[in-house]
Amino acid sequence: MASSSFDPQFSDPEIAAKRLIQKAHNRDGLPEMAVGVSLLLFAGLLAVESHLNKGTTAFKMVSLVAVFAIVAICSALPWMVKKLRQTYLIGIEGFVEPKPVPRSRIAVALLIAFGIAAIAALLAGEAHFRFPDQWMIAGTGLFMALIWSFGGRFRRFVLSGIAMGAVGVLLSLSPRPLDFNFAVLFSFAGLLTAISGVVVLLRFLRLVAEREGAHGR
Amino acid sequence: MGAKMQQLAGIDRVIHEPARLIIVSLLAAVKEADFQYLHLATELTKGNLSVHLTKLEEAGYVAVEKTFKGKYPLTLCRLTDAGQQALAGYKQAMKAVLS
Repeated sequence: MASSSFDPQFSDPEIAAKRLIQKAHNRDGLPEMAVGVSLLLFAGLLAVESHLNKGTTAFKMVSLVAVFAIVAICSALPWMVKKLRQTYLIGIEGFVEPKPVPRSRIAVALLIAFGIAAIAALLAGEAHFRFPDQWMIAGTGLFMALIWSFGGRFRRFVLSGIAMGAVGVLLSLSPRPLDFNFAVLFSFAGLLTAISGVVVLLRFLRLVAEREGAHGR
Repeated sequence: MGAKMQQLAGIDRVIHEPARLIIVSLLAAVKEADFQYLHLATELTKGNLSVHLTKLEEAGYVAVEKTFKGKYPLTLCRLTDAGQQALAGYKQAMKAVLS
């Protein structure tokens, strides 16, 4: 039994249960892979945009596709993960229907992260940044770092978050155009999360195989 | 001290058992979960989990339903209203005893 992660003598059982559920939610790496792939898609669109002249029809088309792609991907992600789990993993990892997280709580968390990232980026680059381009890239990196670290809470999320924030701050020192820097930042974040997700999925499948082997099935 | 000891004596023993407390707490944080999910999340053995779920079901704290999701048979478990009340009461009682 996971006595180290659930100790009713010393912690609120509800908090410990939520942590166990979060751990279970992230144990197959699918949410990370989905976020990684969507970030890579977005980075690709930004990279294409950065090579086009602003104001041209091609640029407007790509921008429009980017907006629709983001909305579509963000809406489809939870459904895709659920569908994949129900199709391929339900026999291995079981089924769970989580309670919906109140939208107000998500909005407050996003606002707080945005505020902290904005202030941190502003303070960090007060003397050096060419406002607003460099500030935006550093702020976005720090925003992603906060959301990823506090949203995931586990060590791999915190480490990935720190790396995203660091890349954002480093890119703010780059003289390249903002579109290009954003494409690099999202590519980095997307690759990092997608690779992390694949590693977690492989480890999870290996663990399940080992466990089933140990049970003689 | 006497009042606290009395409160301690009145603690719900069905929930007080650590494995059952884990199961009830987990189910309190989700809408519903199946047996396999609980088995992995709690890291209890299947036999142990089954015994504890039966005890919780007998106490009216957990509702168990056998169903299918596609071709997979599922044993869905969810916390009943009585289970939620029992967990809230248990937490309150423990806080009072330990404070």
